[in-house]
Amino acid sequence: MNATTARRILAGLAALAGLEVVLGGLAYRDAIGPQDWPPLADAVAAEEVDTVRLATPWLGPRARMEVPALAAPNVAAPADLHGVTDLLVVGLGDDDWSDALDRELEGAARPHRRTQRRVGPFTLSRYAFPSEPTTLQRWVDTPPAMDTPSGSCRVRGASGRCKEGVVSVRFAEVDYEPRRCLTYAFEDGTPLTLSREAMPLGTVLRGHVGVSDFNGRLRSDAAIRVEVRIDGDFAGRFVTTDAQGWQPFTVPTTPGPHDVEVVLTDTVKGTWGKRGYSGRGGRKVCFELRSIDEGDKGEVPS
Amino acid sequence: MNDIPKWLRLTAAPAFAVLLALLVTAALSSAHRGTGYVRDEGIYFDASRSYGAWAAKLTTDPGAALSKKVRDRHFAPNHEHPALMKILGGVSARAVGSAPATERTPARRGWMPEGAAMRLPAQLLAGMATGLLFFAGYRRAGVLAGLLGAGAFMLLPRVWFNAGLHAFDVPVAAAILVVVLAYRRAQRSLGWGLAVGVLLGVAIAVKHNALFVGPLLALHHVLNLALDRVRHGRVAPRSTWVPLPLVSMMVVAPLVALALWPWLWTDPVGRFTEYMAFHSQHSWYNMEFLGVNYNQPPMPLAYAAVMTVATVPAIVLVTAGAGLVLQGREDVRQPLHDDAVASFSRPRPSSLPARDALLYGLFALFPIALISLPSTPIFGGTKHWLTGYPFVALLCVEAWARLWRCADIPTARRRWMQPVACVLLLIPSAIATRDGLTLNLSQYAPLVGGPRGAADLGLNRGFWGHAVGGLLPDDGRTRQIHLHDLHELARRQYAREGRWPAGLQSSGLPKADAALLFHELHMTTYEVDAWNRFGTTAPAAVLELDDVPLTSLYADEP
Repeated sequence: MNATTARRILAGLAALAGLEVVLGGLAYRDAIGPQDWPPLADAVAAEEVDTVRLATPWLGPRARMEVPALAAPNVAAPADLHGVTDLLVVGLGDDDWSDALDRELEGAARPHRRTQRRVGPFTLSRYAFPSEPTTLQRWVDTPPAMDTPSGSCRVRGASGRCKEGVVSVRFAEVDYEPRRCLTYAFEDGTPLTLSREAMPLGTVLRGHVGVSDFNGRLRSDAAIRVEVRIDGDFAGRFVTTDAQGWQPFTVPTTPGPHDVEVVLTDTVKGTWGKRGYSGRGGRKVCFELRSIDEGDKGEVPS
Repeated sequence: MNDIPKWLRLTAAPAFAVLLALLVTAALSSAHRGTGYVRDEGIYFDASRSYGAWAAKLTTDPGAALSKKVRDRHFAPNHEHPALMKILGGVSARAVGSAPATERTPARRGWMPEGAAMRLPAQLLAGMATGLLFFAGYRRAGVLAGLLGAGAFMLLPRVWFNAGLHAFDVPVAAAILVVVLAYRRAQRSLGWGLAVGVLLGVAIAVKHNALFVGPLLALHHVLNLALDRVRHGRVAPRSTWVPLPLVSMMVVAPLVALALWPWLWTDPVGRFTEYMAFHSQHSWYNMEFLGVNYNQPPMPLAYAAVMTVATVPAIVLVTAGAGLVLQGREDVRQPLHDDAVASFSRPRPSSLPARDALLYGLFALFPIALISLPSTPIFGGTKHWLTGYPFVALLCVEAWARLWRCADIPTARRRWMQPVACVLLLIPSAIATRDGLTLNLSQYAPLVGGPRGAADLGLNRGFWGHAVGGLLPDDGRTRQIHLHDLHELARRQYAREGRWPAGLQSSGLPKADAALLFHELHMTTYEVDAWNRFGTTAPAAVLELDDVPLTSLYADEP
């Protein structure tokens, strides 16, 4: 190696070290001070929107602690972004959208950003879906009637007591995300019928089914069947396995009040481990359903 | 330099290395008083008390201590890891640690809390590794090269974090460094040729990573012979094909390792087989990597390499890479003066190239390569390839030595340029470690953007249940706390040392008034359990590193 090459390498190393010192100076400090949270909480509370989301997902725990709107159950554990007219997205720095929000769209087009402003180190971005969809009813907010082959379950508040076990609206982890859903674990193949008479329907019934928790999923790939009937007529059947995560399904509907019935059948409750099959595994079904009016889907985005 | 007496010149560097080792040990001991006890330490503390009691019994009643029944009783706890560090921890606790009175033992007043005392042997080994790296660097290219070697290892955030713990990862890295440096000397010395086997035995008694050292050194020896043959047409004498250092490692090391692990004495083959089976069939941990949780094989091939880049400042890696390339090329090209006779006890006299860069490169890269194999269980933590980092530091020294030698810079300019360059190379590591303080298990390199950048990328934030600083409720109202990933044995250690809030008991989540939650992707399931239990998604307090939540406390509303 000649002297020039050696000097160039030394200079390059010095430049890299200098760059890292500068980057370290930016990285190794708090970007958010305690004084930054109250103005953010006030600013979010002042916005009239359907829902709020974080564009910087890892901020979650502190953000929920400081900003009550972000701690709301359907915000902390959302189903998806369908049925939302407008939303406020809170991000650190320039974050105004995220991959997690793209996943929440589940194939829908991104909403249009209407406004954006800074509040301290945060960016608040307001978005709207041009078709102005609305959610008419969520079963996690108003639990339906529940039946099993043993008879009707006693529904009180957010849970139903059945002979085969308890069905309750709870938070559950599905695919490493928090979800709010009707959860239960029945013996293999026991169907659970959920029903609501005269449910206000829009243009679509949209729901999700998944399995909690990660240990249960790791040790079982059993399928769950979802069968939907509207006014007694067959409307759709979906089969999903726990490996498919938070699996969405939709059934087109005619607006107005209709009787809705969903039959859920988890084929296997237990899990497989080193010692073979165990019927006492930690697998739980997690299910949610909403009626949504999708609005004017033909509108040209402005 | 000529004014300095020869004896001073010869002793100053070793003396400084010892001083540096002691300073680093003292700094680790002091700085880590604030580092929470990691899950594994809880188990090791418990085992160390048992092993330490056996060591005490050995001095008072050796006959009883050596009996199979007593031995097995004392060494049964945590017998899936070798005993040496736990024996040292137990002895250290008895020598300098305080302990409360129990039903069987009176209270003991020491110089430091029991946990800190148990951490001390590992901290001493970390200090020793730092001193050795200084000395090796000094011998290669002077004081600044020595400081670079020492700093490029010990200032790394993950090294600093692990170096302070009563665990085996930095101790085994230090032990492997000792073995490799001894192996270098063993090429030309009968004494070191014998000693290297003993040292390898000690290293194996620290942790199983050292089991790979013998085969790697043998590989280096074979590569040396092959390069001699291919590059220079030299045929090595048969007596050097399997020379003394390798024989010593094959014969002496297992005996030393066995001698230092009394658990094996009862049934050496059976229990060693059980030990190997435990580690080769290790459970697969959950580990987040780029936003995806992995808990079944295979882990992405690039995992260990990407995590190394993400946690070690780029300047250290690039400098080491330069050392490997520049000096490695030189190693291959180096001429050979075969005027000395190589022999069984002195297989590579000074006339043959030592090929240090090749040696360091093997040891720097092997741990990362091993952990990257699809068949290797998911261990997850960067601590599992820390054994490569001392050799990364030595490669930095190689780069330093070669670049300054070739740069041909006038002495007057070199006099200020070299100290500036040395500081510049070490500052990124130093500021990262200073920022992380007791939370360096969650620290990331500047190029990644530190903890915030790593969180954006979806990299793991910690996995050891130690980050509890300031979160434990001490209001007298909270009676039951769910510990989540904080090990019950670690909690008991805090309690033994009076560092656990009085009246606060651990409990299952349903009965808890409060719950800790250590954030990892797969821990979401436990976080939502806490939401269900407390009826809120909002924590009562959050522990963060540079805004990134590491641990949350959920609690009932006051």
